[in-house]
This record gives sequence, C-alpha cells and structure tokens, in this order.
Amino acid sequence: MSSGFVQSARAQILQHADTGLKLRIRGGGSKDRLGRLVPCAVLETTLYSGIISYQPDELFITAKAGTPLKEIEAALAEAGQCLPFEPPHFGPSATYGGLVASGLAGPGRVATGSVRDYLLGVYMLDGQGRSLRFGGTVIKNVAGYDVSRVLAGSWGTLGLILEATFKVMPFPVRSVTLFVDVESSQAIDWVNEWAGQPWPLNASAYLGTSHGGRLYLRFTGGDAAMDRVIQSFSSRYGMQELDPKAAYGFWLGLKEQEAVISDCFSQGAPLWRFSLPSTARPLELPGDTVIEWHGAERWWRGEVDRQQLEAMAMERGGYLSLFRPSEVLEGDYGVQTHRFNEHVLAALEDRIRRSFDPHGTFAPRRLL
Amino acid sequence: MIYKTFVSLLELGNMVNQRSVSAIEDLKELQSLIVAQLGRVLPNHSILWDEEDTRPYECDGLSAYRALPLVVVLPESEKEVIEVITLCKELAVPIVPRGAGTGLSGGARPITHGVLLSLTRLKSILSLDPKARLARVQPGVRNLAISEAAQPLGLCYAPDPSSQIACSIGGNVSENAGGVHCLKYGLTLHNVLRVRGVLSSGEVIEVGGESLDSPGLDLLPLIVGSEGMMMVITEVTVRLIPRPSSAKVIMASFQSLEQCGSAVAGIIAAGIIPAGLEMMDRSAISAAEAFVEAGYDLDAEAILLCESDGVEDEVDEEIARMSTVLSTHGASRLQCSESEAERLRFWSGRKNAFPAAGRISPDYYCMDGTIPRRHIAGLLGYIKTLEQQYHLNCMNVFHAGDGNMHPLILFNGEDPDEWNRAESFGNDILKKCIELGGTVTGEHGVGVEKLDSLCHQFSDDERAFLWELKAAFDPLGLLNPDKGLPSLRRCVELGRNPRHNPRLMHQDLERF
Repeated sequence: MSSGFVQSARAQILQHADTGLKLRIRGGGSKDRLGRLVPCAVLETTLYSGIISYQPDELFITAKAGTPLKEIEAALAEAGQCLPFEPPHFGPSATYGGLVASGLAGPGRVATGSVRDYLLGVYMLDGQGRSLRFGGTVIKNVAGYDVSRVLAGSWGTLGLILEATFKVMPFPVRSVTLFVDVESSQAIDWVNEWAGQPWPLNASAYLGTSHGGRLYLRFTGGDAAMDRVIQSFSSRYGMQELDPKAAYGFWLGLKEQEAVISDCFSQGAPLWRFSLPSTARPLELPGDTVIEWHGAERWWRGEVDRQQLEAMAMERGGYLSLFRPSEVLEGDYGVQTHRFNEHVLAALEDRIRRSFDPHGTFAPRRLL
Repeated sequence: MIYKTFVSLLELGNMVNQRSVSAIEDLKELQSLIVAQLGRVLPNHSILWDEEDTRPYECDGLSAYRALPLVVVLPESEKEVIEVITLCKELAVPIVPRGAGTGLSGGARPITHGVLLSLTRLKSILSLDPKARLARVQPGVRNLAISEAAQPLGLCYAPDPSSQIACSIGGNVSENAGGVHCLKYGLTLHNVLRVRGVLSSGEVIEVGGESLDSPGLDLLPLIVGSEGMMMVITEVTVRLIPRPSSAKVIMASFQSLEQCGSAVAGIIAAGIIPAGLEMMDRSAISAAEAFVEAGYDLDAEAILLCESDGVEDEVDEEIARMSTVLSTHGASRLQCSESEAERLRFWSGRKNAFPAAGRISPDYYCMDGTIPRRHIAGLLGYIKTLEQQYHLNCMNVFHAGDGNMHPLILFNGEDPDEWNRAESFGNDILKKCIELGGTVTGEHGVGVEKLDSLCHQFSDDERAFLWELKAAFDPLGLLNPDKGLPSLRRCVELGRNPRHNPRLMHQDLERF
C-alpha cells in the first residue's frame, strides 16, 4: 500500500510524462541557488517526512526524503552518531532527500568517504512512475547493479527519491584542530605527505588571502593518540591548537561556506569550484581562496574569463564548476566537460538517463 | 519498451545459437571462423581452442557450474581487447570476461558458443604515486601485488578478500570484492577512483578520475560490482592508504551463539568500528584448528576475532574498550595478540577456514547472504535446524561486523542427491536472509549461482529496470549475458515449477 504522497507524486509524474512537460523535484529549497533552474512545475517533497527506521547498533538510518536534515542529525547525535561526510545544509530548510540529490559533502569527506559511499539503498519513483527499491540496509550488498548510488549527486534529474538509507558512524571520541601559517604550495605538500602516514588525520583546510595563508588540520581519535598528535605537530611544525569551541565553529562555518570563514564565500561575484587531484600545484589566482580535501577541492570567487579557469583545471587533471553563480553570469552555469572520449561517455549517460526517465520529464541538467 | 526489445534480441541470439548448438558441426564451424578471424589480429599464442587448452577455463572458483568455451583469448594490450570485442560484435558471439578465476558465484563460467576473454596477461602496475596515494594498474594485477608494491612506501591497498594472493584487481572491481577489513576501510567501490574499459561497441571510456568527483553522473557504482556485464576493464586506478603502524587482535570465546551475536552488536553500539570483526562457530573452530593449529579454544561454542589497527596508543586504547564490551557480553576467555607473529597466527585459522573445510569434506558450498547484525544468532539457529532437515553439516565462519554470513555446507559431489540437498539448503538460507531484511549476496556476486534468488530479491519492475541499464551499456547483450540478472522468463518458470519452494511465488505475474 503506497501512501497518499507516493500516489499523488506518481500521478504528477505520469501526467507530465504524457504531456511532455518538465517537472523539477525540490526539497526545502536550501540549494535553489546552486545550478541552473528552469521555470517549470515543481514537485515538493517536504510533505513526505519522517524517520522510518534508525538502529544505532546496526549503523543505519532510513528516512523519507522530505525529512529536515537537522532532524536527522539531531536523532543521530542523540545516539552519539553522525553522517561522517558532513553534508552542508546551506539553510535551515535542507532536507534528507536534498542531501542525496545534491551529493554535497563537507570537510570530513576526504578521510571518511562521500555521500555515495555511505548511501546503502533507496526507494524511488522513476520517470514511468514505477516504484523501485535498490540496495537495502546492510553494508555489503552486490545483488543487482548498485543503482541507488547513482542517485547521489544526480540533482533530481533521474527520478524522485522517496526514501534513502545511509550507513552512519559513531562520533569520534575526541577531535583536535591544529593550525599554522604557511604558503599554499607548502600546505598542499605537507598535507598530502601526512595523509600518506598513519596519522588520524580527518580533515584539512587552507585559507589563503593575498598576504599569506593558514592551514588547519583536524585529527580524530582517542585521548592518547590526540595527545601524541598535538605533541608531535607542535614540536615539529610549530602548530598551535585551536580551542575546541572555536574549532567546532570553524569547521561548521567552513562546511556551510560562511563569509566569516573566508571572503571567498561572500556574496556577489560567482563562486567557482575546482575538483582536482589533491597534489595539483596551487592555482595562479589573486585574492582569497579556500582549499579543502587535502587539495582535491578548491574554491575561488571572482569575475574572470571562464575559459581561463577551465584551462587551469584541465592542466591539473581536474574540472571546474560554477558552484554559485552571480546575477551577472545568468545562463552560464554548470560544468563544461572535457572528459576522455567525451562523445562516447555522453551518449552512454544519455542512454542511462533514458532508462530512468524515458520521457525526459525530470528537470534538465543543473550542475551536471 | 527498451527492455522488451532487448529481451527479444537476446532471445533471437539464443535461437540462432541453439540452432547452432543442435549440430556440433555448426559449433565447430563457428569456432574455426572465430579462430581464423582472431588469428589476423592476435598472435597465435593468445588464442586457445583445443579442448586440452580450454578445459582449465571451464569454471571459476565455483566448480559445480562448468562449460567448455568455444575459444579462449588472452589479449596482451587494450588494443587487442578492442580487436577481440569488435570481432565478437560482428559475429554476434557472446563474451565472458575472466580475471584470475577465483570468483565464487560462477560469474566467469564460459558460454559454450562464446569467447572467454582472459585478462591475466594485462598484469602491469603502470604507476604508483606515493604523494597522491594512487596506483594505476592493469586488470590482471593481483590484489596482493598492489599492497606489496606499495609496502616500501608505507602504503597499502585496503580491500583484502581471502583469495588476495591469487585474485586480480579487475575481478575485484567486477565483483565489488570485500574482505576482513572492509567494515573499517570499505569495499572495492570505496577504494577505486577510476576505471577504464572497453564497451561492447568497441569504444573506450573512462569513469571517475584522480580528483574526488567527476562531472556528470557518477557511473562508478554501475561498473563496480557489475560482474563483467557492462564493459571489459582495461585499467584501474586505486586509492592507497597508509599502512597502520600497529595492529592487535583479541580472540574472544563464547559459550553460546546468542552471547557471541550480542557481543557483535555490543561492540558497534559502543561506538567502536573494529578493523576486523570475524566470527567462527564450533565446527569451523575445530576444522581450522586441526588444519593450522592457530591456538583456538576448542571448548568454545563460538569465537570472535576482533582487531584494532592504527597508531599504537590508539590501538591500546581501543583494545581496552573492546575487551570491556566483550567481557560484559559474557566472553568466557579473552586473549590479545602480544606480537605480530601471534596476531598472524590468530588470523591464520580464519584465513584458512575454506581449505580447512575442504580437508574434512569432499566438497563444500559457500553461501554469502548478508543480514542485519542483530539477527546473526537467529540465523545460525535456523541453519542448525536445516542441518537436521537436509542431513548435511554446515560450518560457519563469517564477517560478523558486516553481518555477511558464509555458511559452508559440506557435501559429497559424487552423490547427486547430496548436491541437490546442498543446493536446497543454500536456497533456504538465502530466502531467510531476504526475510530478515538482508540480501542474497554480500560480496561474492550473483554469477550463475544466485540467478533464481534474484527473482525473490527484486520485483518485476526492478528486474526490468536492471535489464534496461544493462542495455544502456551493452545494447546487443554481448557481455556476460547469462550472468548477474535472471531473465523475466526464468523468474516466471521458477514460479511455475517451484523446485525449491513449495509456495507459489509471484502470484501477481502474468502466466504464459
């Protein structure tokens, strides 16, 4: 027996498929500013809300797509657990389904894995209104293709995610944040070296300005290990410990891209995201920059010729996306893809999209 | 719609092939044609067709399912792989890709009218970048060889399936292989950044990249674990992690399965993610002990191996926390490894459990169901009742931390009735796994072995959708077409002739 919401969502999808009109899936709208929004009808998920099953000793949570993300995180925190990839909310209305669809992850992603890595299963409606369940609640599952994980970061363009199950993890016993003032090339060098050594390194961030920059490291683990980290990194590299309350605020602000963390996250000029091999050399760009994920994710804000930025990303073996556009750049969203054998891959992607959505009902590409 | 077109194409292929198969001459003719055409693009030593040469390829690690391939091809470069695929496409001959052949679900079982494409000669480690912590390797590189090459750099490749000495990384990607450390370090999917391969059209694609995400849809999950049905892998980039500087394992004895099961849940509930959490029951303990003398407690009903790794202080702290939880849940004996040699000895019994089973029984049938951890003791109890029902013994040794069960059903393959009973025994276990909210395969794959089980695991719509995805990659159905997914017809027929299940399944299905 499917609920009233599922029935009406299916009817809405089928009606749009019949008439050839587009439909945009939307949770709380906290990420409306990201990517291209085409004017069309909207299917809201917020009415389909609630935690379906949460079992701390099984390390999973299953909830409906419209559940507020803060409600999910509060329930997990009560049992001492979390989503270790630290999804950004970008506003109080963020939903659980939106977290899957956006596939966005915060500072912890580099050490603990991505949204897709923790996604165990989904219940969804495809473009033909078929209700489909893939994956489940167990960590290991190779029955059938791993369909649910393709939905992570698909921005609502493949189907309506109704319910999702994530693997969850315990909060670390203790977390320590250290910082040091250093040049960006040295910071990238160091952090990649340390990531290859058995330090309990959980996240890194480099905040660069025109006068220099500061590297922040977050370590997680037991008391003895943390004490040893503080001792080693302060004596060898002159690092200082950030007081735990300030550290909490720092990583939260970084995840939510607050302007107090870096001018890079201020409003106005567009915010660009570089996804690069972590060891790629620093970008030749003026002003403020933020480097996360040991160098694999880099942010820069400014008005500049897009092709120039793209060339920088490609030279370094990565890609560029316009993460948060300004009004000025209206219409120039998303990613230009220059992948290996692009036309073959694009044709394959199209065929996969048609398996999910043969009538092309779900709203056109956003960041993709 | 796509699904129907695809199925009719498949059936067309089958009809053509069945007609060929009906006359052995036709098959011989097809073989000569393939060999002659391949001979133009590949050196002779890369093409095998004499029965004496192709016989070793008739099965993978699941020897109950065998078939002799028409031709075995051993390409030595991606270019040769493309040649083979292009030729097979022109001749409409199905291809079964094969790695080291250690798979446990028959995923590399040949097709009698098809080509077996072995990737073992693509075995170079192309690059190893210690700073970026990446290795770029060819598909035939052995799992353990990657860690061995990375060892001098202080790095390793985390997934460690028990066949890691022999199994290849291409096979690991195809099956999304796990291992004893995947509770903490993840499966193959979590440790692979990029896969390059050849589609059945002969075109090359690369999925993923050296950064942590790529533009477009994330297609890696559709490739990893796809059992050679989507593309033929020619190159894999894996993530390397620092070798933990210290590791210790606790061996805990329990006097009941229930206590042991609850200790597993207790460890997780205490917020501990062990590097490994493995359980063995009494019959597994005694078989392993007789084989390798690991020092196991023969009086225990079950033992748990609970490992911690990381920096030394961290390990000591975690071992203390683990010991407290295990004692609270009624462990009758706790032993912590005092040295690396002792740690390896404790693991040796677990790692040799399969060959140990081979010593006490002519054959064993290994299952791979995964269930929520809280049902472990319940499922073990159910298996005990099945032992009596089928008059067969079963030993249990498994990844308790993941709820991934590996019951080993002991039987004698010389006796067809015993094999039938073993198969039914296995099917009952898998159905129970689905009932308990789990899955029929955690890490071994569907292959040919669990096709019927997928009729139970997925609805008609879900299976149709999975076929549509297969068709998106491989429109002509050339790549391993008889594995991984059951045809709609197979599931209908399974419902009609319920050999293993007295209840009529899928009553909502259209009956032809």
